[in-house]
Amino acid sequence: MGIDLSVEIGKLKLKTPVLVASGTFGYEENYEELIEKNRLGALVTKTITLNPRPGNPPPRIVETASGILNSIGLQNEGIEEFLDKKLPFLLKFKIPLIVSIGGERIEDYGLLAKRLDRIKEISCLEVNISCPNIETEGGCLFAQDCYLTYGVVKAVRESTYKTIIAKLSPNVTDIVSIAQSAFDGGADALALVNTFFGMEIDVQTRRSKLGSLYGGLSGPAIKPIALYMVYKVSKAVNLPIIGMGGIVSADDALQFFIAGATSVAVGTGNFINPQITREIVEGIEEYLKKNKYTSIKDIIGTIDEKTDK
Amino acid sequence: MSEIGKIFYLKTRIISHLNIAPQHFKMILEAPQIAKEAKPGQFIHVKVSEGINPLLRRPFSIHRVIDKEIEILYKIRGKGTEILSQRKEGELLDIIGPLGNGFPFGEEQNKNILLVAGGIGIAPLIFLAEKLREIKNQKSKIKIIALLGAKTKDFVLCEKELKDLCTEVKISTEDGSYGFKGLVTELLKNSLTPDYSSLTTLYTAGPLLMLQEIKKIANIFKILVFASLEENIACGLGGCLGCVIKTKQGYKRVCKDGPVFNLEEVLWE
Repeated sequence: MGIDLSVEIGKLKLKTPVLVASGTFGYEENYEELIEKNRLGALVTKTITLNPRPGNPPPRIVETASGILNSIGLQNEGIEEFLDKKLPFLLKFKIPLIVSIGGERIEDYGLLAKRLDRIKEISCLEVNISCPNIETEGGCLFAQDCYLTYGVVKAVRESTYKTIIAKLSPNVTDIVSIAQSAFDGGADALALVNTFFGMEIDVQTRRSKLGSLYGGLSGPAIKPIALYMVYKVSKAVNLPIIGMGGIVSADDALQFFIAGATSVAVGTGNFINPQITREIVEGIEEYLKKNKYTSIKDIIGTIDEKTDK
Repeated sequence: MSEIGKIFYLKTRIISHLNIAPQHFKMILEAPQIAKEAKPGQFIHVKVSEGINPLLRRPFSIHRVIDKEIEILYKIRGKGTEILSQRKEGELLDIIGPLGNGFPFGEEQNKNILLVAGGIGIAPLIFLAEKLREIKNQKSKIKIIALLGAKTKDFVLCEKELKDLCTEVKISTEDGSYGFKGLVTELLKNSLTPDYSSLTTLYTAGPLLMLQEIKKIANIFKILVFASLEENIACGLGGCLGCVIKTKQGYKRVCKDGPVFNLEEVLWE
């Protein structure tokens, strides 16, 4: 008997529970074969904003111990050019499309959601309120404040019936209260976590190793912290979670499912191995088969919390 | 710009790995698919070790293609190249390639060709010189002149290969231990005469300061320059937008829009 890997995220049905994190996978001709063969549950776009953004000055990537620090700065062509030039390519594939949206003001998110709501091939919106490389009107990330989180998600909710995923930041004191605010605003699912604020300094010049002063840390270095946050939120908030943060193996991914994630996303791992998502899907299947489960759902949130070893 | 061919994800066998100068290595890999598709100026993206230390791949220009094998030439610069230098013949190396655009050249090739290399910057220029030599063999009026700069005599790389391929080879060392004493950019200035002008194409790779100086010289002599540039490259496939440089047309990705750029387009701070 085959293994059932399908999961539901709001109204969205995924054939496999493995996605790519926004901004870590391209959509040009050289990615076509990878998209077709990687057994992705859905395609997630790079974050799109209302107007084009040039992005931050280089260097934008610095390698750190088991991680990378990035300051890309949401470089993108803006919503209209995205719809015109990039969307047709993304619609060639027979997998659901999740469009990530970002902005500097709450209204931006509402406007973007309204514009995308008219396009029926787009299955779902991921609301990126946690990019560490963007200046917002609140002076902090939207996802660092319960009211702003609620406000952005609500603005999107009022503009679309599509499934909404709120992408949260780990740079908070209480991730559960932020997750609850996203739920209250009308989110159908949560994606956690985005990158951690971080910096690297060149001791000779005493300047940042990035073109910006600081950036977002990702990769295996953050995995245990991301896993902890997924676990905490899954216990407290009744929404499906897309778990992410340093996943580079099937074992990493399985830990997120057991902690309570319904789906997982791979980000930095794609840079190391562009076929990593397929290998992770195969590894999950193997684990389920070996342990006599028939569905990925059999292991979601099944952590054994006994500690007296 | 040359058309981008197919990209291969391979575990290739290390056929040979030689220490050719202090801190400098030449590695030969068995990669028939890449050998068949590769164009001069393109690179391979190498996972130097298993596991997550270091995390990212490292990009290396394709130095030569011989039959079913490809070569890379590299210098130990940090953790990644240090680990790579310890890899042994017979081991498998995880590589992706060929990537990037490559040097533009072809039938309408300019009459005078200058190859200017600073140190390890010679790596992509040998593959290019081999292709240019094929064109020259059909169209004998082309002159290929190579200018090779190194710190000292010990670090003069690929002199023999260049002598076999080029019309003329000039060498500079910073300490004067071999050839012209000084920087390769000074040697370039000395070598240029007004008749070089618009009929010359200069191909180059090397340290940033050298490239910046070449850009100034090329401006004066109205020479077309194509340079292979470097940045910290993460995905290597154009997806992450991590390796951009500033150009007249905005930020461009070194891994996908480059690594070869017309230097006139590049804006350095």
